[in-house]
Amino acid sequence: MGHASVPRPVAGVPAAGWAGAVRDSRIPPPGANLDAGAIAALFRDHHAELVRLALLMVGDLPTAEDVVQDVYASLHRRSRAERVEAPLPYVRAAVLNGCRSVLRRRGIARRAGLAHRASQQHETLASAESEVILSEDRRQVLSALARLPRRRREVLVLRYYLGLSEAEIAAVLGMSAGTVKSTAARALAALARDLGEPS
Amino acid sequence: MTRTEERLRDALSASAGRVRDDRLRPLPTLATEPQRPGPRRHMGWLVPAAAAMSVLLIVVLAVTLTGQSHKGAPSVSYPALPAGFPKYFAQIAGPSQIAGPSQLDVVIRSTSTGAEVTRAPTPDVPGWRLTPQTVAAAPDGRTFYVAYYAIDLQKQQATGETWIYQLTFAHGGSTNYLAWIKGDPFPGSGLLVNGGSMAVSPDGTKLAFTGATQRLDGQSWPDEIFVVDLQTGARSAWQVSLSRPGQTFTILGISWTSDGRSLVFRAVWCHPIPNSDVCLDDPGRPGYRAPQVRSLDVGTRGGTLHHGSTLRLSQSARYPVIADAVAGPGGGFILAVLSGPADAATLTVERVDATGKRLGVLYRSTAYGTVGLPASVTLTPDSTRHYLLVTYYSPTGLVSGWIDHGKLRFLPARHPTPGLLITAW
Repeated sequence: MGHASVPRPVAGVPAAGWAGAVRDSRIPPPGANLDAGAIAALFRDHHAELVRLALLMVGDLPTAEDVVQDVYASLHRRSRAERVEAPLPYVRAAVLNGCRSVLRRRGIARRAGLAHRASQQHETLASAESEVILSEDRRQVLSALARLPRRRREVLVLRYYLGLSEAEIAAVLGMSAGTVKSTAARALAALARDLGEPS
Repeated sequence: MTRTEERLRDALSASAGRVRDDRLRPLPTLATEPQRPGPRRHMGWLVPAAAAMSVLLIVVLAVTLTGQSHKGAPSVSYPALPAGFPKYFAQIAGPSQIAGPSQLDVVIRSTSTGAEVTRAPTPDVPGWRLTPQTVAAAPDGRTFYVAYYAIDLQKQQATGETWIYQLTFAHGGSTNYLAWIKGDPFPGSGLLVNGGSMAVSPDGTKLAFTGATQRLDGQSWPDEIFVVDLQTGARSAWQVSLSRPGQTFTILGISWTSDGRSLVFRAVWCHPIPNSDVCLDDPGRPGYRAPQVRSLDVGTRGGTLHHGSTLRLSQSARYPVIADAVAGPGGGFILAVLSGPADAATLTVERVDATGKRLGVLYRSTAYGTVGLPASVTLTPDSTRHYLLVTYYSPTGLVSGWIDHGKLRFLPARHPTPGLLITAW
């Protein structure tokens, strides 16, 4: 029947433009107070996503879970006072802040000679693959990603893991959409250079 | 997308993929911060008093609103859902943007709130026009299969193909993926937009759906059954052999038995109106043959429905009109039966054993209304096979609810639905 010429969408690849930018009604509306119930619902629905995001930033699962739990507890403590325009981006930003704190502490510990075993590689994405068998190709990519500056790394993770748009990334990272675009372009170019690919 | 972007996306997905939802350390249960003692402590009675007033106000408002909602429309209640209840249901609905390639999207909604979780517009494939026909849910409750009717615009012919995609979503629905299932397209379209014409096996490895043979007048009716192995793409087909002169054997709904070895389907010999897509299934029409419930062993590689399927139930005094049938527990069936006068029919959903002996009534409605055509009732088991969705045409539109201890609990969608309905959950 000549189906070979049928232009099928590539299996498994996110359909460009099909991603539903849909807001779950359980997420408080923009401008709402984040009360304890709303925070619990938000974390219940996005727990795994937030842990995965943290994992990609800090590199090991226990720390990633710690970061998310700390953010959860912190938001819960401030639940009555917090007024948030965009709750989910706000929480993602809080998780990224928690990751930065972890990485900063690790950096301080290293400089003070407190890092007992550098080989443990509890730093950034370079160890994100350490507990699982990943292909050599993926190892190379993750290592190259880990060598990028933090802001570029965050942009790429939000773009290519969470699939956020430039505007959404801008909301999470507190920068303009234009800056997101240029940062992503530079990050991709640097990544391509590191991987020996044409950018 | 560049090679670098592809590699990056793949590596991030693989790395994050080791985080399994069911193995995450649960979030702590945090108590609300206690009231700090202070000079206003003597006013502490204000808090419980205000809370009591709020509750009273909510109750009064709820009673008032509920009372109004009973007038002229089915009552809508969203009770707390039991453990293991499906989290999502799928609906074919109007588009998010009119300018899209199709007027219809597949929408996944939350069963607890009705909120739209994700929306998959119809793929825009150059040279083809796709229309979503039906959706089936996989056992995990969050993977769906969408069948599109695809017409080759260059060939300019009425009949086309059935393209089936797997729909998954991630990140709370902010991202969704449509991936072509293994294998080639299927000829024609035997899928009913009312649902029930496609079902995923209990173990999630096979997809069964109704196929269609194109007739000489150009019309095609669901008179075949395809089973495709989702892991290998291998397919089996049971072709038509049961049609009669002037009467087309038409399969109106299929479901899997709990062991995944057989399909149960309801079929009629309908009277197609030439050059139209109307297939009369009217009990009052001369020559009307009552619906049958048949089973099909899918362990073989295909064949004819005449030899492959087994007649299990047919019209009797007990079952005047079998409006729909799905496989039930223990080799039995769950039937939707219409009885009584056509202008005031009673709808009964009941469980019967393999011989047709009634085991119990799950739901009964004496207010089914004047719309007496059997095809207007659809039973849809959820992917866990614990809950049963009943969809029917009320005088004002489609209604979808699940049976809960003899009552119909409406899913949180707009009722009555003016257009297309829930097809999977």
